[in-house]
Amino acid sequence: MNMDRKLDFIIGEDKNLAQLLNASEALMLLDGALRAGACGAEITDSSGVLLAGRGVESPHTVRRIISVEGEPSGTVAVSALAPGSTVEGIADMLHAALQTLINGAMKRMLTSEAHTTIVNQSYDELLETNRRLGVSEQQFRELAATLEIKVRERTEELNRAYAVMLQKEKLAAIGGLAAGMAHEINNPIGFVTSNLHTLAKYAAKLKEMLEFYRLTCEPAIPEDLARQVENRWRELKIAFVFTDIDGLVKQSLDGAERVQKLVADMKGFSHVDEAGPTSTDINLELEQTLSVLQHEIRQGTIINRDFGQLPKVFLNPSLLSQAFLQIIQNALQLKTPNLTIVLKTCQQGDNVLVHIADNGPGIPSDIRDRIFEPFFTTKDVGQGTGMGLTVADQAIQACGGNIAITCPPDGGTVFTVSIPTGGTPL
Amino acid sequence: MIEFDEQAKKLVVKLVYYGPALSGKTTNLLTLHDQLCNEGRGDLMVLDTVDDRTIFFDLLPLFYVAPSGFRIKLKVFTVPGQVRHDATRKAVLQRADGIVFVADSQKGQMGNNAESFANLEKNLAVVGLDIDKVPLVIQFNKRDLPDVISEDDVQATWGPTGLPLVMASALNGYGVVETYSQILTLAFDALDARLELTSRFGVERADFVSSVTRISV
Repeated sequence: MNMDRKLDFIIGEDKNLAQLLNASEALMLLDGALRAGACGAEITDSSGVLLAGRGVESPHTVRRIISVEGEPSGTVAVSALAPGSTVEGIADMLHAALQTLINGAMKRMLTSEAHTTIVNQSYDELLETNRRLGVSEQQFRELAATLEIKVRERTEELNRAYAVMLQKEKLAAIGGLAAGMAHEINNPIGFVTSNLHTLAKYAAKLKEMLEFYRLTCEPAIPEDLARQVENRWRELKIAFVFTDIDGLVKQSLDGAERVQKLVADMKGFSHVDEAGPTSTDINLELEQTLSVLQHEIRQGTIINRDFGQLPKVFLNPSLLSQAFLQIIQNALQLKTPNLTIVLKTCQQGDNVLVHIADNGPGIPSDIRDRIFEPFFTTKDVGQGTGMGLTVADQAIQACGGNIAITCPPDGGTVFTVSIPTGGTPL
Repeated sequence: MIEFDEQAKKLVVKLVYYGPALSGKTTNLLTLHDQLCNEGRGDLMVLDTVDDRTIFFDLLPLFYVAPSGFRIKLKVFTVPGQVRHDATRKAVLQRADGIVFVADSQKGQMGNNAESFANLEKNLAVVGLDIDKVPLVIQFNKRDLPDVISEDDVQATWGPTGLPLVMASALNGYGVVETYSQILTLAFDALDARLELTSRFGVERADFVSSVTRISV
């Protein structure tokens, strides 16, 4: 606000006699002087300009200086036919009256001009204050209206960020654990496998030696002893032992191999050795995820794989396996009898599609939009965190893809994970 | 300054007596009016008041003609001290050439003095005057009263500012003309620096100051 512009009247601005002298009032005084005996009276300013005059001039003229704020600013002249105290007296009276008139005018002007200036200035300041108050009131209103929404938005943002952080921590913990376990399990499994092979060889040698004894020594021993040997052979079911040894060893080796594979899959699943995106085989990720979930697959559950030929995709595999884990785990927890889960992969245009279908009861349409919301769960309190599918959704989004849910009319739920191949398959 | 007309060889100068309510600004002007010689001195204009409190301002005009013919009209104003008249104070302060800050010496009045001085600083900025450059004299008035702050305390507080300090009792007539001639000297120097009054217009400071401070006998 420019105060200089508003204060256009300067208090104390100089006024000249013409501005201060009211002509009609002055003329009344001059008329009075003429009636008192003067033949002429006139008022001139300091440069000799006539401001008011009555009657005629004569040689017998007396003059009085009119001052404005101490400054000589004009003259009042009174003429008479003869000199003397009369004309002097008239001049003194006229001068005093004029001086009073001028001082009064001065005071009135100062008062009214100052008043007007101050009132205008105050009014302008009030208008400005009012305008500023209006602006800030508007801002406060807007703030108040949007505050609730903003708080809600921020809270959701925080919740999401918290969930992601939690999941990352979890993943890191699993990764660390898997790496440690893999190391600890691989060593004993290694020598168990090796020893089993050796044990099989030793068993074969023992079997050969026993059969050698039976075939070559039996005719030479006495009949009584031979019968005892035969009885003992049957009692100890040596014939069965011979046939079963190979089976046992083979089963044990299979078991050890499975343990080795599980450890390798867990390590692969956690991607503890990798950081950031890499060229990823999506079918392999699914296979590893299933392997990790093996213990959660209940008796009687059927898993059908229908894996198509897929290009390798450049992405962060730990995100992908995390998403698959959550979706498949979700399906495995269904209490449907004869639960069947179908995993189907295929390429469609620039996307790799992964269908994970179950034959469960499906998801009611009114909550279908909400299942990816953080903390949304249909499970009992304490059973589910409501974070599983949220994490899956965020992980797939981080890979540049999305998850769609459909519930076919004949029952079940299909999660379709769509991941862009990135244009150029790696 | 209010007006400077080189052609007409005329300068109109404004001095303002500022300060808290009831510190004696009007009394300063009344005393000046009484003590100064009436030659060249105009009438004291005390604008309408309520309960003897200034609501607009008071004005004491003085007129000086230098030997060179250059004319200077001096207008000495007071401002209303009451907080509510801030708009009037701003209007009066506009284009001031010198300011006398009339402080109340009574011990209980230091808060009001400080508040008023802060208000002066604020309003000077509003009307575009620099407090570090505008001629300023501090007068501690009412020295005649019993319970006043000691002169040493005043010096200790205000001395470091370098501003001229005058002890006065406007009611008893001392320190008033001294204050007035101090501010006149400072204001003249400031104007001379800007307008070259002495070298270009033949106005001598000593003659000017002695002429407008002449005491009536």
